[in-house]
Amino acid sequence: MNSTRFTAIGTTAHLLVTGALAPAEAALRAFLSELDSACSRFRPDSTLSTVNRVGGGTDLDPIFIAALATALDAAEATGGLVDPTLGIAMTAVGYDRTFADLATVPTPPTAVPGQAWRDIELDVAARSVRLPRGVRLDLGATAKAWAADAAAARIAAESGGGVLVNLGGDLAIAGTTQPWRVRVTEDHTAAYGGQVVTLRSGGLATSSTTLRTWRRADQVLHHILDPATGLPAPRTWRAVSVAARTCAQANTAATAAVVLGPRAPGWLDAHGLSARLVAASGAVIHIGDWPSELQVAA
Amino acid sequence: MVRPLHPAHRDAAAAKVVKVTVGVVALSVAGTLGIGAAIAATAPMPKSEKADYTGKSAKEKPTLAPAEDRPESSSGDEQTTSGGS
Repeated sequence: MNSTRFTAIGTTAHLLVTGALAPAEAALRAFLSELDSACSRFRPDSTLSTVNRVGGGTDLDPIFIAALATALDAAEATGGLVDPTLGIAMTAVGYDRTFADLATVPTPPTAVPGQAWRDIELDVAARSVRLPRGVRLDLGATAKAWAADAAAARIAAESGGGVLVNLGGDLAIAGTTQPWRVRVTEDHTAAYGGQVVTLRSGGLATSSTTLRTWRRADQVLHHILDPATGLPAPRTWRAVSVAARTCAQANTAATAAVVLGPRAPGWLDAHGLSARLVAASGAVIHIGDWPSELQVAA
Repeated sequence: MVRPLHPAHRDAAAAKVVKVTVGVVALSVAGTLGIGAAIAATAPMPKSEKADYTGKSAKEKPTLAPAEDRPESSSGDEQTTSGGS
């Protein structure tokens, strides 16, 4: 197994392959560069920023169109719990620049609810989109997970081997169904805590309310917003990890679970998903086929 | 009272009508070809195969499906980590 780790799209990219590393890494770096150019909220020249400015467009970047289609699928599958129309809300709570550049703001956050996703007009074949008046997109909830799926599938098709693409904790597996050992924890950079599980296919994603936080007035905010209020979801869960058919679906379910708060276990179970939830108290709950934690001998 | 045209004047008038008609037809054909060329030049290019990253030929109902292989417990060291970022 060969692997490499590098910084991209504001997080860490971790690539593991059973075959040659160099061509796979080159393909991943090129793809993530295209993703940033298409979907970054912090680049004024990105396709997303242009669409947000002018309210739509045609013949748009195919990566942007695919990422938006995934975001709208996520909204539909969750009844709007995961919402791509939170661009203005995200700016209103203070997340208006790359996370590394965020500063403490003395004024409290402003609530700007989303829920306008049903009115977005997307034509995938014509690569065109029309936004409702006053709506700004933010694809941060799903684009990274979609990119992990797309990159893993592309690299596996080109190499013929097994591939795992991990973008900031959202990981996708493609190619040969060999076992991959994954630590599931609150922080994707942690080398301790949580639980190690084995995956052979599909995707795994973790949404956490303890990372990517910042201060605003006397509040500590995090980046997972409840579309109904436009404010960070209550911290019922420190972290929610979900395994699903794809990384995009896993990420969608994990984000929806954070928004649902105490109703998350029943919702995940009803969808037949396997999940690991860490409550604010530290208590761990397993849903569906998620394996029990191994006890370490004293 | 109607005065008959001199044959030479009549032939000259008929020749002028033919000349004008030919000119109008020629200009019309040229105009049509020009407009067609302009439309062809400004029409969007056909979408490339690369355009479709969605992997869908038609609109499918979005779902949240479980993984085909359930996650299993492991006692080994991790190869990578899933966590918040």
